[in-house]
Amino acid sequence: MIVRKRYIGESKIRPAVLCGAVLSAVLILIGIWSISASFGRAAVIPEAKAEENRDFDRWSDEHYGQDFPVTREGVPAAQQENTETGYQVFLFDDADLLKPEEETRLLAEMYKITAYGGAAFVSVSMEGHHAGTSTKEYAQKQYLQCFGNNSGILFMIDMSTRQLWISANGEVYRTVTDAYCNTIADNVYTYATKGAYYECAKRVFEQANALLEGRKISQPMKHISNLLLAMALAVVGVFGYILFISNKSRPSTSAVLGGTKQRHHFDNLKVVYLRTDSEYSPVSKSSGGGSGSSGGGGGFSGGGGGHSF
Amino acid sequence: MIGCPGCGAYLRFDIKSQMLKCDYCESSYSVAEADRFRSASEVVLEEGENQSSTTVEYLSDEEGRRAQNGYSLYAFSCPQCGGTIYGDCQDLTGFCSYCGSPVELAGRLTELEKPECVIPFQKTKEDCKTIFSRFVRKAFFLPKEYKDAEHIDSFRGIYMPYYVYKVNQTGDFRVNGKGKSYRRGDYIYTEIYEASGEMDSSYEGFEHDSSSTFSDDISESLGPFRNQDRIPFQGGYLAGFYADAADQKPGEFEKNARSEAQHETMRQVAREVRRQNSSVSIDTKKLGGGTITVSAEKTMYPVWFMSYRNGDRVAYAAVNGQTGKITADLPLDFRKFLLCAALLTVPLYFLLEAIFTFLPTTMVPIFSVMAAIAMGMFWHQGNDIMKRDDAKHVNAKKRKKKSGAGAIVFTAVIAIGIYAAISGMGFRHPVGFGLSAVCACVSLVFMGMSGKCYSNLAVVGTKMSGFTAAVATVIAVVAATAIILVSPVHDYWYYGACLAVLVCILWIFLVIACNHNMLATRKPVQFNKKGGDDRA
Repeated sequence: MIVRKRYIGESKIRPAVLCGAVLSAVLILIGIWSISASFGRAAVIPEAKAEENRDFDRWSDEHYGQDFPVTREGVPAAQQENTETGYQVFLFDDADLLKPEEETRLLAEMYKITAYGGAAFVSVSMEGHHAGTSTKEYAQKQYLQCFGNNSGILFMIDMSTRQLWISANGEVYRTVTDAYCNTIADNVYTYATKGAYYECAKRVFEQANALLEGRKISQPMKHISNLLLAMALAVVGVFGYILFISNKSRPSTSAVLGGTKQRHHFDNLKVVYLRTDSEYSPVSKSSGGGSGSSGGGGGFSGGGGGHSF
Repeated sequence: MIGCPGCGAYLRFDIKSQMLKCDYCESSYSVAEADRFRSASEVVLEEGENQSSTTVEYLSDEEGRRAQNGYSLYAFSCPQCGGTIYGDCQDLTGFCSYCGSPVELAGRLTELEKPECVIPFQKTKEDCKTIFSRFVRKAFFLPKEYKDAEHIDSFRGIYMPYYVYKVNQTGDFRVNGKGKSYRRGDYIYTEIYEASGEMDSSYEGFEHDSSSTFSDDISESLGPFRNQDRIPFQGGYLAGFYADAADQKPGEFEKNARSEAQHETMRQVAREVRRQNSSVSIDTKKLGGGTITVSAEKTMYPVWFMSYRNGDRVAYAAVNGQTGKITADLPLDFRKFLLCAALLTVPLYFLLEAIFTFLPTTMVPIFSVMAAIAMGMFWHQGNDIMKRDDAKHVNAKKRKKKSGAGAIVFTAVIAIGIYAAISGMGFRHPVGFGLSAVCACVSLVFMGMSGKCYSNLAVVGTKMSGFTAAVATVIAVVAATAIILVSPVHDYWYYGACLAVLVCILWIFLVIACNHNMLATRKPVQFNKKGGDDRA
């Protein structure tokens, strides 16, 4: 009987192929959406929230021009405290990136965070270079000065290293995790690159607040990275499975011996003591270690994330 | 061919009843009984008489002696590949079991040397088809036609020739062992014992196939057979089946049986010594002595065999006719491979989404690592194909000379990469850069090694594609490493690098998938014969 053999790959479209095509299309759409989101929209603020924002804008207008009590190295700083929660808002614009009205508006935006913890904005000028420490370490140091180890979030724009950094701690950090700090920094770095520092800082606190209120923020970086990685892992995984299935394993020694008929007979078996060998192996003379020092001072226990700009 | 004493129709060996059965008059005969009148009917055939007029004659003493040393079967030689298969019927219709070509052959009567033992088929063709169907269900990537019911029906019962080795190890042994060990001050003391005695160990059942046309990787993975079920050979067991002839000498595989037996004897001695003195452990590697004698017995093992031809390559599937163990070459369907990868992407994506948030700068080294792994697999596959197609000895001298320099370059670049990673060298992403740099160097080395494989394979006439993919992957990884070094601000640089490396990884895996079919299939048997031509 002669049967025509089709070559590998020659097959009709089946439902499984169709499903695969649909799923691939969905994935591509997710990818396109993620990419477009990364270059366009940074955070989703619903209409209801926009109204609330306007209330805060009114609040900031009322407080515009007011002197704030905290100063640092001769640079005027803004401070506000939420009397209900006791959390404070700090704004140190060393690099003078914000105009006065922008500072006020930003304070209003930051104020919303005080329901959950403190909020601080710090800009570091080109001259204010913190030798020997990274932006991350400097941000953590500033955080400790502002809030100690209490709940809060600090956003730093470091003009000397051209880095953005978000540090969070306490209750805020439980929500705004390292991953979210990185995501937010990734979402806003383009504004800093363009010189729109107010917009950049505003969006950081907007997105942090959105997360704290239980809303979602767009995470294009996460989606793109995971999609690319999933594709690569899937190819490796499928091929690994193919190799596993195709492996023609030889039977083990025990299996080979199991298939044989064996007979063993030992006669006059003697086990005789011959001698004792000695080997020089000196015992280590080092004394036991002393007790360790007790814990150091209270360091920064939170986390954060950043991005260059 | 054995005729039915009742009606003259052909008898075939019925696996379920383990008897010879006539499909026409439904009579059943034991193999021993039927074998006695087998040769009588052959005598009649040789005299040119009509088959239907076969009469039952019991053998004379001389004919009996002749039947003891040899047996007659029809030989069928495939005009496509030259492979020869033996059967007890005059015609063969269907496929050549070795090259998968459709054949319609008339056999010529041949006298074969009679094997000492046989293991009759225990698994029926239906059992075999069920086992195969269950096996290929897991292999979703197979071409559709490989799993076709019609194709599965082409399984053919073949008795494969094997050597079954008997090994005896007798004589005196003397070996040292270590007893208790204890410390006193700065010294460790160890008691030394000597174990001695007489050993008498025997083994029966180390097996190795004795046909050069039957691939060793298939025969080894089909085993082990239950050798205790062997029975003296009788031609009746072959009724309705085919057989392959032994063309290799028993001495060729004697060494394997000898070493396996020796190893097991050593283990047994060590166990015996421990039984006498539990604190004494002997070094089994140092145990020697005794005399080893090896003898081989020709045995026919039952194998269900199927071949699948695709172009000038052939894939085999074989099922152990006694135990039901299966082994098969599994070619893959390219589209199914891609589809499965696409489907797997979805759950993996959601899994990653639930757990990880990767920074673009972290992604680049991750992809570089994956690219290096892909390159390693690419080289490994080329190496495997080279070994399979016996191209490993080509340019061996050249390879040996260059391998030293390659290793030095390889070590140097890895050292530089690691140094870069550890020291930072003032880069913004030192660890990422170091890792990526190491991966770029590793990929480069794998590319060079793959190039050698490809050139060796080209010498023996095996054409492989996809070296361009390897070159592109190395370029992409080097570019990605450069991007980390420069550390641009915008993410799209990193995404672009990742995407480029990913495209190259996909490309190289597609090449690997294509080349996998080279490994999952083999040249038809004629390649192993003098004057063979793969394009014949």
